[in-house]
Amino acid sequence: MRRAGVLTLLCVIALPPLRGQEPTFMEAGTHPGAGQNYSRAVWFDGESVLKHAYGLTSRQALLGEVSLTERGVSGAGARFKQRVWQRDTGPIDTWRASVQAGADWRDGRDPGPRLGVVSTTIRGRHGFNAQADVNAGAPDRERFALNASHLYRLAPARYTVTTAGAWYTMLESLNWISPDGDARGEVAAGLLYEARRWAAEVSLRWLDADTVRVGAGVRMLW
Amino acid sequence: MKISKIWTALCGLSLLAAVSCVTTDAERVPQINPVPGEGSPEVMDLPVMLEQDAELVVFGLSCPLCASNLETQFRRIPGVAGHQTDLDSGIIHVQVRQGAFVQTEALRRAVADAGFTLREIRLKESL
Repeated sequence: MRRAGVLTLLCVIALPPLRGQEPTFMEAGTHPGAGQNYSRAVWFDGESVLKHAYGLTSRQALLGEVSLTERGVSGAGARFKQRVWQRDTGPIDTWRASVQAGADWRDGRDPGPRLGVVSTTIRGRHGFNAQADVNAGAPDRERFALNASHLYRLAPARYTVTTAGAWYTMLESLNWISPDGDARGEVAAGLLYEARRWAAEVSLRWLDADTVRVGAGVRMLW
Repeated sequence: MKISKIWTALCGLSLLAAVSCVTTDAERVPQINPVPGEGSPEVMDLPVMLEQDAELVVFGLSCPLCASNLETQFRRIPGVAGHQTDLDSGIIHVQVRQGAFVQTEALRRAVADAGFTLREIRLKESL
């Protein structure tokens, strides 16, 4: 588990630019354009997470999320996202990185600050996201997060003017480290369909070698 | 790896990101109206106002959902009747409403606000 976290951290720092969009569980270095809204709903393991992002400018965005269970609100968070790197090298190819800072609250805990960096690179049909996060509002076992993901565009092989949507596979490595050094990791694999204004996804997430849960979500740009 | 090393690495990465924020020119937008004598003939001859359809070459479009950020930006430009985006080539065909004018600066700003990089504007009649 610790090796997975170290590998993910190295990817965050050193991996050359690749491509990708936002997968189901971890974040990406993208955000809506100026004046645009981007909303998501993700259902997983008895919890519904509602997320919203608003593009302040082309480089800045405000993000918020609320977690709901059958008992009510189980968590909330808000943060400011600042793009600090953007290199567009082709019609689709890009490498973008952002820093984000804000606060997080989980049921039963005091709110705490959250600070992180996230990177997205896209090259051809491949995409890669990397994220490093420090969240003082999260339980100790989730204090530090190191995540990485790979997205691959199944279809179409090439975009055209009439392309209405695209299918992607998603593979995520989700890792957490406690202040005591205890680490754990989970893997998720899923399918994403992305149209021009909305997207839908389904993902299998292995909590451990024997336990797998299904996650699903929808997204909308408006 | 000890937590202290991970924390050091994260701090270093955050510092790097902060420095990049100050020193990196993240928006690589070519000059549409350069100083006379500089730039390509196509850019130098480009009018400030367009009254005919044009093609924009845009980089960083990423995906269908990402490219849709442009739709909202173009809708705000007076004179733009519509547009079609070819993600594969990065070419965006912009239709100008008959009898109307579109500011080239407005097109440049729309692409930048959507989060992409404008590489070139071509007038349809010169293609």
